[in-house]
Amino acid sequence: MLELAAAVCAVVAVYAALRAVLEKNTLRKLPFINVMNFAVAGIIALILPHPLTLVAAVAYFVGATLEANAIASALAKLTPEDEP
Amino acid sequence: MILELAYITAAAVISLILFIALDIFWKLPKEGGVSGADAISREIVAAGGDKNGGWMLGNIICSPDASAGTLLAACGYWICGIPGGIAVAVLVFIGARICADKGWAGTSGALAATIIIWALSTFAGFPPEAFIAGMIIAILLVQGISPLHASRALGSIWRKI
Repeated sequence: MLELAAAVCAVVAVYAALRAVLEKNTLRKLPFINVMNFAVAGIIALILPHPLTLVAAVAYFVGATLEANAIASALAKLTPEDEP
Repeated sequence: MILELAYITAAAVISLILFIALDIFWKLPKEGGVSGADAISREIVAAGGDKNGGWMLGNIICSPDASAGTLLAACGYWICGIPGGIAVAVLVFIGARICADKGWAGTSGALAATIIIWALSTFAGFPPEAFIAGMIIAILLVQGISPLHASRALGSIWRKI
């Protein structure tokens, strides 16, 4: 079961990374990078079951969402709003 | 092998329903809770997606919401049982505050997922790691296949409710 769960996470992580690389628009890359972060956080916990690994997985994931937020809000300030 | 795949598929469906229900309960599609979520929603609308669905996807990306809570609670329960799930809820609460998110979606998602995974692993024989793989598949369906179509689907669910 462990191998299968880890394989699912790894395949999803690689797929999401490829989609992010192939997407040209930076803001549209973020959903795929988010999927990759989910999969990597899952792999971190699956690969080494230890309480500290759990803290590492949470720290990695929270850091990744914080970075996505920073990238998205910085880009929003750089580009003028085109909504009426 | 087939039984394991069935467990992962069932866990994916349960996780998907759980995090979408909690995110809608905490009104994530109503507005961009953090500044980055607004930008992502605008980009999705510009590409032909739905505004409310875009806000929900933006909020999922920019702060730890119920989907993150569900995944990390599955990891926590797998490693340390119920105390692991509760520890994750506390860490997700701190993480959401770090991301300037005032909401409770992540914390409640982690607690709800811990209870559901405990019930299903104790009484229905689900292996907890099936929920880790299941949650990855659930988030792949929402964000990783086509964010445009996912935003339209989420927007129509939000308007119906």
